[in-house]
Amino acid sequence: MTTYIIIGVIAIVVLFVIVYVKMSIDEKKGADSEEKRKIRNIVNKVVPNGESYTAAYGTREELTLGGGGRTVTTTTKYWYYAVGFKPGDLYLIPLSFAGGDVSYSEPIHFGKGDLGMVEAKKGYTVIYDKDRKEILTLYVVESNTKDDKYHPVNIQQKEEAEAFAQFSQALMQEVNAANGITDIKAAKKEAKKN
Amino acid sequence: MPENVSMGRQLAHAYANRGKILFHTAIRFVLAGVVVLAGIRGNPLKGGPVNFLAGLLAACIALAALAWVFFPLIHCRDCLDFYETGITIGKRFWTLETLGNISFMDVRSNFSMFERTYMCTEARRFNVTYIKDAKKNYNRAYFNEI
Repeated sequence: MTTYIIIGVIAIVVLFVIVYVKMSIDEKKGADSEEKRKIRNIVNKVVPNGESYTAAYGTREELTLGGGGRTVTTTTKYWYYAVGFKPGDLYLIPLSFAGGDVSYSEPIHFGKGDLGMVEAKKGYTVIYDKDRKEILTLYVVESNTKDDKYHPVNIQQKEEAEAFAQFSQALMQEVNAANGITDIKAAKKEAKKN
Repeated sequence: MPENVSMGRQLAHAYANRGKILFHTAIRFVLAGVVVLAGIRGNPLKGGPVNFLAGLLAACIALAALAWVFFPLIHCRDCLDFYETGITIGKRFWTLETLGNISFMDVRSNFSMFERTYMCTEARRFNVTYIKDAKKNYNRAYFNEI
């Protein structure tokens, strides 16, 4: 019995070491990865005057539960973006990853005049339209590693994530002030009623 | 395909993933083989079936098992052709307007060992599990690459 416990503990420790080493390698790769350079190139290419924008990698996830009775379905949707931002201006360029290729499509532009409300939180930003209906929740985080098929890049972006956090805070203050919003929770409740 | 729809230039082509089809067939063959062997071991055959109906039932089960094992092989001719104005899926041409918004979905269920992949469109959902690099070729056809 003791032998099996020891084997089990050793197996867990070995697994932990393998996962930790892999994560560390992915993090080191992400500091100056090919994907990070591609994100920069995409922003430069697609956004007008793209070199003046800070480029970052952003994601969006939506989890929905469905089904009924004995069948429960969990659906998770993933979106990936090259994010180009500078004070008061935001571009989201949809990305698609498949088989090592990175593809991009037409950018989505959000100027401060286009938005009805912004909620900037730690690690993510929620943007709303003029009717205060949520458009999307965007995550721009420091560390992105290739954990699985749905997390396809190694990108470490500490400076960019901090810059985006500051940008979001400033955007939140400007947009909310321009739209007369002082209490975001109350504004969301009011929008739900309408 | 309607005669007045021009497909335009072919942009990409995605073939059937024969390796995956053979692998899935092999796994099903092994599983069915294990079940059959376990059944024969537990109930050794002693002569023919008890009566006609029992024999018929056994034959139906055997046929159903064979159909299940070799089912993936029907996908050997699956392919996607991406054109400027639409996509040929199997033998039918669908215009991009009809397909509308296109996305890819992976489905994993508790009743299956393997994941299935679907190309979801506004017209219908297409099973592209056994097509190699369907999404990659779709991206190459209709999006910009870097």
